[in-house]
Amino acid sequence: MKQVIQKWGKSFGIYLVLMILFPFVMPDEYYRSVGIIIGLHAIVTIGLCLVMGLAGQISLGQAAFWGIGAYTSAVLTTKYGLPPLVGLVASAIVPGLFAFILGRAIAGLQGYYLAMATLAFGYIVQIGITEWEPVTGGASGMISIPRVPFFGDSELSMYYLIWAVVSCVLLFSLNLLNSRVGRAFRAIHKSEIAATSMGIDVRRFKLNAFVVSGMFAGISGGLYAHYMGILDPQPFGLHESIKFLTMVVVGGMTSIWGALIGTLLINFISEGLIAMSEFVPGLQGDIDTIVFGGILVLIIMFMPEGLVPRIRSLYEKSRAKKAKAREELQRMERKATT
Amino acid sequence: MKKSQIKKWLYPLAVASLVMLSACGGGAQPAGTSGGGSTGGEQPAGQAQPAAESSKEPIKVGAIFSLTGANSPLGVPEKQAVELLLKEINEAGGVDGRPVEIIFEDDKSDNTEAVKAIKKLVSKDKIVAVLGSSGSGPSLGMAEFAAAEKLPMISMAAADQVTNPVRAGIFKTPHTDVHGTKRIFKYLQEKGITKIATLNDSNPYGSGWTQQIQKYAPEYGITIVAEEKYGTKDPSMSSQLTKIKGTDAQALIVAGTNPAPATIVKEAKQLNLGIPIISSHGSANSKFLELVGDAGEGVLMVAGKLLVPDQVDANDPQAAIIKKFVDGYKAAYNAEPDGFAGYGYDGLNLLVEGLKQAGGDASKLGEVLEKVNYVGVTGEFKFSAEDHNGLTEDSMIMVEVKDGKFQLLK
Repeated sequence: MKQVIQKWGKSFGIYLVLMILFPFVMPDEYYRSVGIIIGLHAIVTIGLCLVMGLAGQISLGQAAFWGIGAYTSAVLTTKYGLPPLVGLVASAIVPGLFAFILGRAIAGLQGYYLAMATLAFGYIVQIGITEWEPVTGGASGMISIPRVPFFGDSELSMYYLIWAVVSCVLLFSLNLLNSRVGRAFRAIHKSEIAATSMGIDVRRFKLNAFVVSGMFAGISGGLYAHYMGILDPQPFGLHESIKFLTMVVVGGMTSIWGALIGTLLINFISEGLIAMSEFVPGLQGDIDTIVFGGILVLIIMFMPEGLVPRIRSLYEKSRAKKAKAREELQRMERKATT
Repeated sequence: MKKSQIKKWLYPLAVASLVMLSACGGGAQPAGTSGGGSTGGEQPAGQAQPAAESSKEPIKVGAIFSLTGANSPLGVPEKQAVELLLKEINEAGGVDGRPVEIIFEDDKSDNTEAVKAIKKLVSKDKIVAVLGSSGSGPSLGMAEFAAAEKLPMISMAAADQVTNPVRAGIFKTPHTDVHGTKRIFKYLQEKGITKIATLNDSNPYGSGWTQQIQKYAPEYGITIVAEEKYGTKDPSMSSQLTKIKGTDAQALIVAGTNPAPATIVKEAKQLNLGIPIISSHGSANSKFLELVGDAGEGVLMVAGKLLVPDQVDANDPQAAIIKKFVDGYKAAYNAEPDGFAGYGYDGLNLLVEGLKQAGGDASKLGEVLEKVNYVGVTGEFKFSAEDHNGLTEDSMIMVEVKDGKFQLLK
């Protein structure tokens, strides 16, 4: 923990200030709801970042865990009358179990095969939700899901609830990154064979990352269900999984902050397009999908490590240059005096 | 070195916690007083009200339609019809001398976007009522918020769930799957058909139909001998049709939106299915005729009267408004209006009718609409406290495809 504070204290402080101030800088209810959606996405992308950036796996089925979490909490609270908090706890556990089983089953897969397996899992879950009508309400979905009581149920309180969860998830992930586990993950990411020969249980670490990311997505899904008040299977498909993937890749897979920044960026672009479409009618509708696709291609072509790691390395380079220049100057001065 | 670093991050944290404290104080306030209805946010709106009536401030109404995405074939004509009618209403002096202003939003056929859009309209544009959306999912999401905010809403979505159970202030204009099912069953009774097969889409629209067919079949003495499904984007349904061919069904009911029903009709012809096919109002438009070509001859459909405007009986109470709407729409857009355009048209008309009866006071709109009787292009709306759709199956008609055209069955 101490190390985390040392390493990321400044960024985390800035993050906290921005996060807390945002609803007051933008005192519009609408932007609070945008903030809520960004928070929900961020929880998923931070989890996905653990799987992709750290463990070097790919998941094209993250929206499925999101959906399982959403439906778990919705069914428990709406059909069985349990309090939303119990539903939210279950919405972390159930997707975690699914992730565990799936993770065990596909532990030996790599590359394209892993991508295909997670892709298939995403489809199975979406179809399963649609067909399991007695429980999930089928394609027409569920309505009247209760809200989470958290200092009232205004948009503002929901915003703080969700960003409190984001902060916890963020702290957990940063802490993890900086521990023995994190170093093990980085070793796996660089080379699985080398990691194994160093005595790292690659299978177990990969499975853990997968389960944790599933649980994060599940919590976010549960919150989404209570926030929306209705559910149908439509948002939990491949489209959403790809969107999560884009956010992580744009921000930079190897950095937890990257996942957060990527989420913000993609959502800001989306909102910016909506705002601009009032003046430029051509920017309506599906244009954002095209823009995201374009961004993804550009990032992969010119900045495969992602935005945040690139900026960080640029910053460090310039600092090193400055330091070098200063050193040079000092040496020159010393030479001049002698 | 270490000391200064801790200081560095302590400072923002201290600021953050200070802000958090003030945030909690600020956040609690609106929640506490919102019951009284006199929070800071609401005050300007309240003050504007009396001033507005003298200075003819517009009545702001939101309209969320699916202008892009999967539901855009529904949303675009809805918006066009609403725009057309809006112009007419404002040229005639608006409501109580105040013009009506509509702020359009696109939900991209997406639930989350629809909920975001309605929140934006309420908080930013301060609308007094909302129309939309085109699809069932987005409409249900909006209804959840509108009901909590006591915002009157008129939806153009087919799903029965929008107004069943009834919620204060939530209404809808389209025929539901209940009306369609009952109308088809009435027709089957007349023809003495008792055994049917169904082949419905697995989306909300089709599965809604499946439920209603199961529910009402016993009432009409009808047995379902085969119940098949297909996915919205499936390219072929011949395996389901082959299964149905093996049963003793006397008619096939198809519920889905184009292009799938057209594909089914074509493949049924190739397979020599040999029983009448009845398709739902979801596919009843010119696109179906275009897609199905010659194979469509003899296909039956249940639809609103707007499908065959020139065949509506002159004595029909709806005849006048249908003619007016069709002529106006054709003049403006050079195209035949379909049922969806009609849903939008009726939605705005109902809203304006309600506003007029409420004397321009939108807060009473929810109650007033429950007493509104209005003859629209979709049917005769008779809203009541128990019925927020207000239509009956008698406002639907059966048509047959003949020589590439829809022909009314008397």
